Amino acid sequence: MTSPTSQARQLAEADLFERLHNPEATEAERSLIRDELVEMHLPLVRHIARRYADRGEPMDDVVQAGSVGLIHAVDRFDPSKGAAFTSYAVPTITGAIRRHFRDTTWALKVPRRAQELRGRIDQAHDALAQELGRSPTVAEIAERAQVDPQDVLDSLEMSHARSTKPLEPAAQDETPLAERIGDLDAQLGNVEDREATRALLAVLPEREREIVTLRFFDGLSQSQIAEHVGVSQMHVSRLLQRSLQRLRGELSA
Amino acid sequence: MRVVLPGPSTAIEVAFPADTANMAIARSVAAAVATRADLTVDQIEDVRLAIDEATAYLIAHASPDARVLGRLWTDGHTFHASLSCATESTSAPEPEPFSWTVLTALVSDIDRELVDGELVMHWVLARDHSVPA
Repeated sequence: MTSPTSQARQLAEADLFERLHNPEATEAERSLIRDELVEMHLPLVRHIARRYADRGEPMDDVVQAGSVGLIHAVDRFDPSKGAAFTSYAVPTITGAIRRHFRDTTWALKVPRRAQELRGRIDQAHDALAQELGRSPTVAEIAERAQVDPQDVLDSLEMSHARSTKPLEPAAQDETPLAERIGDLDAQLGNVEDREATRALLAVLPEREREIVTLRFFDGLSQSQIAEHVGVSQMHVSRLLQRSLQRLRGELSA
Repeated sequence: MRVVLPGPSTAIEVAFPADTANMAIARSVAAAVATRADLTVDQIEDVRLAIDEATAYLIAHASPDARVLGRLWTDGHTFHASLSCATESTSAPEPEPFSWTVLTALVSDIDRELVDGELVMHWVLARDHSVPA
């Protein structure tokens, strides 16, 4: 049985897809419609992501991977073929999440016990960060997860042993983070040798450049950046480390 | 002659050939010491990045076959890093502006000096004020 609300939802969805494929729609209209369709189906991504909750990977990163799948599904779905969007989107989202797990393989072989611990530690970290409104300390995480502080430290260490995928480029319908927060020139306002800094940062992919700018020029913490970008704080840390390494390479070249 | 870096007798020392391939070791040791100051996870990750920047600066100016020596300690809720490396420079070189911006965004009270042919850098990271004692 379809409830009246879900029926209304399906109508709204069908209407949105129709407008998306209307040849007379402007690029700006399409972009708004695409946003709305993505937003509308984010609960589906979270629902699928939850199935992967106990695999020792931060939930934010799983949801981020699934969201990329959702964006692709919205872009590729052809309503004229008669299938429901959800049945088209689920395999695409699941595929994107599976690829995420395949691509972020452990660079070191990590024992199962350590992976399970990491899951508990990540959950404690995320819960505390939310409750406290700041990054928790190692002792706080250890107490919450009921593990030894050394286990928390090992878990942080292990996070750095993972291969790090670059962030997916911002979907075309997404306003770049830098534009939402203020443009690069304004951010580099007080920086000595602004042109050189700008040229240097240009070697980084867009989202990495945004993360570097937010951390070092806007003074946001890693946790705050993680929240903005929608990935885990550890992922932000790994990306910063890798970006700085690359920039040092450029500078010494 | 090896400069005697500051720090209490409880300080942890790490020494390695001045090669960027060894930075990961210094990074991990520093992160472990930083937890003793009860820093937040964000700050421990910042310590790692700052160790990278500081050792990269020393390595860039190291004399051939030099070793980087790091002394790492905590004083209450403050993490200290003191790092040195032999150099042929006759004065403490100016850090590259971008690296300096990064380092100053991460840590405080950065000192650079040249002592008896050793380039020495010291900095601290104090615990986030919003963490209750």
